[in-house]
Amino acid sequence: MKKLLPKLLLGAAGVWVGSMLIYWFNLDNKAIYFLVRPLLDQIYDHRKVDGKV
Amino acid sequence: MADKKAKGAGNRFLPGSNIAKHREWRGLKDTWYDYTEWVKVLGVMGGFVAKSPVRIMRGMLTYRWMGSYLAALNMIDRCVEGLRGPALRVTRIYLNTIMKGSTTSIAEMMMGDRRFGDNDFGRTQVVLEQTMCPEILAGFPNLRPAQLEPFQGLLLCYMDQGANPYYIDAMESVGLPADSCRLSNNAAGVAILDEFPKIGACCISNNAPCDSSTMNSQIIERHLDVDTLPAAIPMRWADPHTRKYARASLRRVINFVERHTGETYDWDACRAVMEKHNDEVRNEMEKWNFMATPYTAAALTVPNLFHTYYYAFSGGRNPEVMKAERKVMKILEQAYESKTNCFPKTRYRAITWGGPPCYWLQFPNWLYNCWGILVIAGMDLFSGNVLIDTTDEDTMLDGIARNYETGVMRRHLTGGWQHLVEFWDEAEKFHCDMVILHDDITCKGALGLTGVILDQAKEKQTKLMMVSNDMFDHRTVSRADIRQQVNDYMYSVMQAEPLDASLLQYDDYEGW
Repeated sequence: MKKLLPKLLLGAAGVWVGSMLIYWFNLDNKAIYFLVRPLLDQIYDHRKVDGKV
Repeated sequence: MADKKAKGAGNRFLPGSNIAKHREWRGLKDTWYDYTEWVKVLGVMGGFVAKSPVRIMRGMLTYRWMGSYLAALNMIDRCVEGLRGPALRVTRIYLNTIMKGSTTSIAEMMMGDRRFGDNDFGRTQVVLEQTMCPEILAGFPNLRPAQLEPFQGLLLCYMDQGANPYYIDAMESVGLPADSCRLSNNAAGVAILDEFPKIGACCISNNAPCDSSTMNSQIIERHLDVDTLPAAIPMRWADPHTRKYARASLRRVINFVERHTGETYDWDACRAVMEKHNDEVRNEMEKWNFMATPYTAAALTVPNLFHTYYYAFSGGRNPEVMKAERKVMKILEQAYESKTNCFPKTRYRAITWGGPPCYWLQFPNWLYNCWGILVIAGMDLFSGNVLIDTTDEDTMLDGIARNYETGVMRRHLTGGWQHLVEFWDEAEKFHCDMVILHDDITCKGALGLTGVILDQAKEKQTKLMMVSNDMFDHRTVSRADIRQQVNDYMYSVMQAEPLDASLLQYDDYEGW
């Protein structure tokens, strides 16, 4: 337990620092806008639609 | 035009995409608060996916509109631009509740979607088209209202201005005139592109008299695979002769739902939900007293948005609404008692009226940060707000009908001309010195009165600024066009100088 605790604390600190960096540099929105959404658009564009009125 | 060398909040964004290079620094305390709220929103999104991971993933890969919801984090950031202290907290509390409710609704849509496999859950849903009120289902405790169009139209537009033109163009390509109401135009486009989830045991459609709404219900019905009943609720709600027709129409809705679901209407359950609806309305009225003071912590976009949200999606059913309101009221009381100026940049107090540019939800934030115009209330804040008499079946039906008749897009835009010009009185009540009239270029109801409003403005002390928009289509009147209209008015009529010249004009055409 004594050996595990510092590792857990270190891991939690890493997650915290990482999330702070993502938050501050707006990496979440940048990734979605520049990476995820263009990929999704390619999938949507290939969808066959029966556009009947 | 903007001075490109001007330093200010405008320098934080990438040109074109308008994605922020980094998030806003609000001082240590408020930035930390905003960070913790961001983490909470990530938790809400995680909870959303966990509700039905496979179906939600399939929905994400099937429906183009669902992809636009990935911009929710960005939308939230833009709604809190320039906010500090109590104002930031009020906005964040409301946004979190909206996020929880909206993600639950979308998750339930996917869980009941017959495209991904038929199940019992889907048959407990009753589809409500456009603005149809959830209150009427209060007597069916085992059924869930599933509002269809707002999630593929209005909310979508709030997240991503580029989303709706895809559906609008699809509808116009099969012959709908380009000057039709964008809201219904968009919904019909979603239907013909087969992007509505296949949900529900039946559907209740509304009878909004707007041009494209009169046909979109039929097109949607053809694509839903369930029986639809148009709820013919009267428009001229102030006329006492309409009451019996309103009640009869709602009774037809109840009978229709009973027939299609096998459920029986429980009037006691209805009464219990209506009491909660009344709590929401009483709280709203009390909140307005704070909003009318210079010490309000509730202003700009989100308090209006929250009202529209619970009007359209809760109707007394969602306990999270009052939980959020209690937290907000505490903040409002504290700010008032300590005489805190929660919006210190304020130079003008304004009310907005008419159909807004939904592709620029954060327009009030821009007005505040760039020009010091504090938007206290918008037209939709005055929608519904009817205390329902729970004495017997007839009084409850009457109240539900009246709450709907005076609801979003009905009370003011189709309920008779005298209600469209109520904004002069509302502006006075909220101590506003400016009215910003959204000139929605496809809303025939509002356009018909523009001349009358301009004539009335000549006799008033309150300043009137008219700003054109195209509701869901940013290509016709872009955000930059809207900014230019405001800038021209502020320079020429108000003889004002901007608070932040870096925000006067910027490139956000390709952005969300």
